[in-house]
Amino acid sequence: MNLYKGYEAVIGIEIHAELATRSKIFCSCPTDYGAEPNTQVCPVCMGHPGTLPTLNRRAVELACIAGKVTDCTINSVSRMSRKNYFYPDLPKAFQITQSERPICEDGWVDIELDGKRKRIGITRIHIEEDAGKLIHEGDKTYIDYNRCGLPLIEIVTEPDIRSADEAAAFLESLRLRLLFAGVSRCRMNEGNLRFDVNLSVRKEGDTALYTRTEIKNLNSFANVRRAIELEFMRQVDTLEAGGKIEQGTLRYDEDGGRVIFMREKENAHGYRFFDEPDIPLVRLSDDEIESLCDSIPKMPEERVREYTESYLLTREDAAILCSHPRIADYFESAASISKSPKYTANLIIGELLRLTGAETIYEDFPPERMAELSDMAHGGEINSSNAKKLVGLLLCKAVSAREYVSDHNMLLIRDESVLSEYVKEAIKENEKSLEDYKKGKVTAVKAIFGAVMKKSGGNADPLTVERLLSAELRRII
Amino acid sequence: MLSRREISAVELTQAFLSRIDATDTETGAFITVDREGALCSARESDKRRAAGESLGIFDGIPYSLKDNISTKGIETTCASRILRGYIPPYDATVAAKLKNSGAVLLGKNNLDEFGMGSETVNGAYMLCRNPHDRSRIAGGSSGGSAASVADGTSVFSLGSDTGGSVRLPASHCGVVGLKPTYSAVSRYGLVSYASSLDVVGMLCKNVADTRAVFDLIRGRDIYDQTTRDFSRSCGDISLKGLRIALPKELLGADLSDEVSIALDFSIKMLEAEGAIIEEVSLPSIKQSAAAYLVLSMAEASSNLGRYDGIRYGHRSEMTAETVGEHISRTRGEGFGDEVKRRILAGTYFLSENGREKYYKNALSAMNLICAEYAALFERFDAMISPVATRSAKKIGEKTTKAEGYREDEFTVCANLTGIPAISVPCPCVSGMPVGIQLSASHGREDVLFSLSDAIERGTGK
Amino acid sequence: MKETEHNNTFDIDAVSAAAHIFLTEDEKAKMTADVQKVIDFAGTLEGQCGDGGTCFEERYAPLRADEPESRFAREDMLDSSSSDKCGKPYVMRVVEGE
Repeated sequence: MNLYKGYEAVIGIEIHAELATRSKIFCSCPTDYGAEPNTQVCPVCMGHPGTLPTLNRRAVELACIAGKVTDCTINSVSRMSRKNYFYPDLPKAFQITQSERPICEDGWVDIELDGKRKRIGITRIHIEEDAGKLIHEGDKTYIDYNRCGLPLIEIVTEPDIRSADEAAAFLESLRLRLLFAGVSRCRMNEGNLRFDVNLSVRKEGDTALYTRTEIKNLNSFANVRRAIELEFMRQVDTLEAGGKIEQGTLRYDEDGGRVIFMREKENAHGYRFFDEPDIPLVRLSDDEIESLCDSIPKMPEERVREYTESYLLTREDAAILCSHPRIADYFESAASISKSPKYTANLIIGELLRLTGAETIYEDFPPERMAELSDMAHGGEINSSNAKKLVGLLLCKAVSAREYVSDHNMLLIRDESVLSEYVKEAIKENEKSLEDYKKGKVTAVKAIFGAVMKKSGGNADPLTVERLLSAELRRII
Repeated sequence: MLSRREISAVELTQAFLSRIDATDTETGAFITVDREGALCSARESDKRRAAGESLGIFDGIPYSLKDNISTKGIETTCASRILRGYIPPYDATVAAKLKNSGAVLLGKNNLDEFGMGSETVNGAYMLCRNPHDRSRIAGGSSGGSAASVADGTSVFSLGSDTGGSVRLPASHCGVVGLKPTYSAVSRYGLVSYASSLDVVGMLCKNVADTRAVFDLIRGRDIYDQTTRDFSRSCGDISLKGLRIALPKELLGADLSDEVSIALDFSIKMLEAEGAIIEEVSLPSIKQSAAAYLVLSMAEASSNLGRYDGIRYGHRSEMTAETVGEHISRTRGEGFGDEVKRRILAGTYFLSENGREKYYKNALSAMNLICAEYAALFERFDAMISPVATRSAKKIGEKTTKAEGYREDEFTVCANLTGIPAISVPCPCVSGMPVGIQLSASHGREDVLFSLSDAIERGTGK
Repeated sequence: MKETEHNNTFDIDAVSAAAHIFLTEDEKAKMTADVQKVIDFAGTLEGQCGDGGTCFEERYAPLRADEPESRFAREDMLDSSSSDKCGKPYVMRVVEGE
């Protein structure tokens, strides 16, 4: 839905991504999610009188990496600023952020949609701290300060996005980059990524920018999509009805399926930005930037290309393996020692990922065993259905594939004298199927095939069985 | 310091506590006296000494802290209603260093609310009087610190200096007051007034004590990212051939006789030891008071935003419709007038309407002053100037606003530029003490101590 | 803030709201007079400072240029040893009826 009543949407997005550090940005409190309220706080993040912030080096490095994977220019000198406003979840009454000189500027992310490539500009990326969380219960409000001082980056795009689809494609591409680079854990359910959408509309072909609204604090791609669609139509309908777009901040009401204008916070007087006097300029030397760059793992796009070119995987399969860096890494380590990476990929995609996820994949099924299993199947030691079955059987077990197979009699049976007997017996025991087959029902042969496999304990080599079975049938008929 | 060990730490502490009992209801130098804590520390100190495990020259020495320096478990009020009853959960770095060296904390000294003032009459609890004449002010904002040292109710005290708050009361009370180089001493736990100007300073009986206390508390602190180590030791420097600038902008007809005499005396003492004094011009000093005022108030408006009654401190009991109103009521009740004035002005200076005209101009002025000072210290080793136009005035005696700003010019440049400055007592001529100010370039406290020694020798101490 | 503020005048309502300081009408009148004096004095800076540059950090330059290791105060580590400064749970106070 790029056009509606002859209008197009002009969209910019601000993404708040929580950085994957162990400790908070200005103190040494842990960043773990889900702790009891107010148990991960200290005098610094509670804004006690006299406390001072000290910048976490890793937060700066991760922000720099975020800039690198979005092709930004990294400012070797950036500066922290104070954004002053009063709110109960903001203990110091100011947020430490970057205003005039952010750490990264002028980047882009390429997206692909319906076979077409498009470049979405990144205006800037800056470092800042998160605020606490208000919890409303009846007529009371509680404050959980655990989230105070979690390190964030805010990524601001150019108004280059034209539709909900483009927004979703961009956000997915960005998410994968941040995830692969280790910048953020990108867990949507833990609020690691949050989005503000700026949207205005204009007649198709017009290039000017008009009054925009901002939809704040969206927490999923689906909500971004829905909010864009709703606000796009709302603005167009307003204009078509002869109305005017009022600048303002909106909230997406998930239950009501609508966007609602928010009461302005008491910051109408501006944020009174000024340079943070307690933190020196943030300096990164060229050497440091370079060594950070060297530490960045390969991005998903590059890996997809490699998998399709080197391992002849389909794009779809490659993309599945590249849905998470741990899965991609897992595949690569298994593939590097396996004789048929493609077969390995099939086992991972078709079986293993049904049973486990990125978090525990290494522990649940070590890549060495995956390679071993894949090689046994590929080398004809076990048949493919047993190989699939073995993924489930070996999950979380401390035993080698080869051992398990021999202990449980799962080795492939190719001995034609044995298999011929099974074939003859199976035909004898399945007279009805034989009759059907004779009447021209070709599929009836499947039942007989299945019976042979069953007799072999599932271990027969299906190709041999197929050959013997069709020979036997030809002989009978 | 006190290497003689003829009495125990407990006896010494008890003597100081008795002295506080005897005089401090008059002087008002202490907001909080921690009797039990002090005696407990003293007992520990005596045990260590008996076991031959003394922690050094500070072990057992009674001292006090300005009440804007955070002390774990001891109320820290900043002389403000808004922090009445606030007991910090942590020690300031300087407090921790003193604790670890065995020094005995007697209590917390009076100040102008949040350090905003120059008389120590702006506190929420009581005013502080000058021990040399209790009808006079002690100066401020570290007035309680200076008065307690002068009054013999503590051996030394740490204060803070944002625009002269250590040096002015030191001058008025006849004690030595050092404002160290910005970033030489950790501010972690010093309740922020204007972060880019604030520095923890010390008030002591003499130069030797000052040097020892400075040596103990200085240095890089992982909790204050603006700190650094200045490698220079504080050894003695020969005054022979040292070049000392005397800025003519800080002279003039409005200096009282006592100040002029003190200045002449100091110059003579320094010259006698071979220093060369030369009059210079630093025209940007004329902008210093206004630049200081804008920058300090702007930062204060931000730093004092945290007092909202939600997590600690005073909370309004008035009913409020919104959280915003609740916070406004709390702050309206909790802050005194001077603090309110500075927050309001600072808020305006940072607002969209005020920032270009005031805040940016003030930054520009500050940079000009820094450049002028940097150039000066290319040619000179130190600078000498008055601390104020006069000695301590009577409590309640009016000064015109213009006079008030002019007074700032003597002290604020050291804060705007970050250089160290010290106030050293000169001989009394009028009955009230007067100090003289020496400053040097960043990290050169050693120069200040050597010059101060010369003046101190001249006064016959 | 309001339009009227553009010429050097000070709108006490707007500023006290921004600063979250409740003032009675009497206090407002007094504060306006006091703060206006401060603003007038600050106004003397205008046209006096040339272009000293408005970069705040410059004054730190002599203190840090040679000290790269002090740029970051902290590595990404949890600090459980220093329980004075970190890691202690606090009992929160509750804001009622927002």
